[in-house]
Amino acid sequence: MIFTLYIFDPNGNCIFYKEWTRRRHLKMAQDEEFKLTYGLIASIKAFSTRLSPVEPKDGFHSFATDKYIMHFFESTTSMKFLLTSDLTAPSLRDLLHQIFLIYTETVCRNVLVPARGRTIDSQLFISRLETAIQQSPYFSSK
Amino acid sequence: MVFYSLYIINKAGSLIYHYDHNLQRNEVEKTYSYPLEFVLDIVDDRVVVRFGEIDGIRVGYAVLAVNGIAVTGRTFAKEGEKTDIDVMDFLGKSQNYPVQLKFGRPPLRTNERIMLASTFHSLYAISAQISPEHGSSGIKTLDTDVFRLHCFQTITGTKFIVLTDLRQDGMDALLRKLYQIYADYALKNPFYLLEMPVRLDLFDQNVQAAIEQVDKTGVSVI
Repeated sequence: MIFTLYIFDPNGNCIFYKEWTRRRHLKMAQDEEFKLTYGLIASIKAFSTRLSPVEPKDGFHSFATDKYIMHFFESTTSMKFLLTSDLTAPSLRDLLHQIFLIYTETVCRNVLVPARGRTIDSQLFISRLETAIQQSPYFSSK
Repeated sequence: MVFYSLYIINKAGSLIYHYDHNLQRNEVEKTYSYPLEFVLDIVDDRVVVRFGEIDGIRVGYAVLAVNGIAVTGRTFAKEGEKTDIDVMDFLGKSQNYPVQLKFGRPPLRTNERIMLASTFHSLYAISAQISPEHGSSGIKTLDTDVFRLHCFQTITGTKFIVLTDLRQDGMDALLRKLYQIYADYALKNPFYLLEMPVRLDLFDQNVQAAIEQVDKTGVSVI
């Protein structure tokens, strides 16, 4: 089951957020939640690189608690893609990479969209994202 | 399997025990002529490569030895000299070349370990806080491309953290075994102060034995 998707730009602003089956909502404002999530991921990245016993290449991939898994993918341009799912899903990095490709095709290559710092409102992006997520074998809206 | 490290963090987030097991270091030793191809800088009281990845030397690597003499901090002791020589001064003078330098990933210092331990303590709390599901715990496993972190929190709030390679599953058994060793040899020791660093020989021996056993034969035998 896929819960939520966050996309962060290199400055740490959340430029896209969507939820599917999310049962718990935080008591804080949504932008506070984005800041907390970005902060967590940025710290985990630094933490895991420093702690790494061997030379890391791209570092942090995912973490799991007893209720959810947070999957992480970072492009070379420091765009961060986060997907939360339940524990049945294995690595969803392929799906995140697919979302990244949809993003480059529909948002980056669109000359009418400013390069930085705008939330994604492309309908094409949203519809193609929706298809990609729903085609994933780990998506079910139980 | 490869077992890398064990950390034990108390309920307040401070590191009370750590143990490293067969950490292999990636070190590069070469002879250089003047001037050096890369830019060095002092970071955190260590001489670190700032720019110029070449011959397997990467940005962030520290100078570990000069002409075979180990570097401590930013200086090294040279025979016949009363005071230690500053590495940056030494490498800045062309008459000291050719020079043999050893580079490698700088090993973690105790202070850094304490810092990382308390960082993990807060990451654990935040990951539970932002959960999209009700009643989630904190981080139980954390995957990177080269290692996996397994964390077990006891009901009293002590965290046992184990770093292994990616092939490892079922580390819960080892974490519980380590918890048992902690209860038996640290908590039952009348001279051990709660929440304080564990410095007990019997505990060390048992931890080492349990880890070596897992390292050789796998988790199934515990």
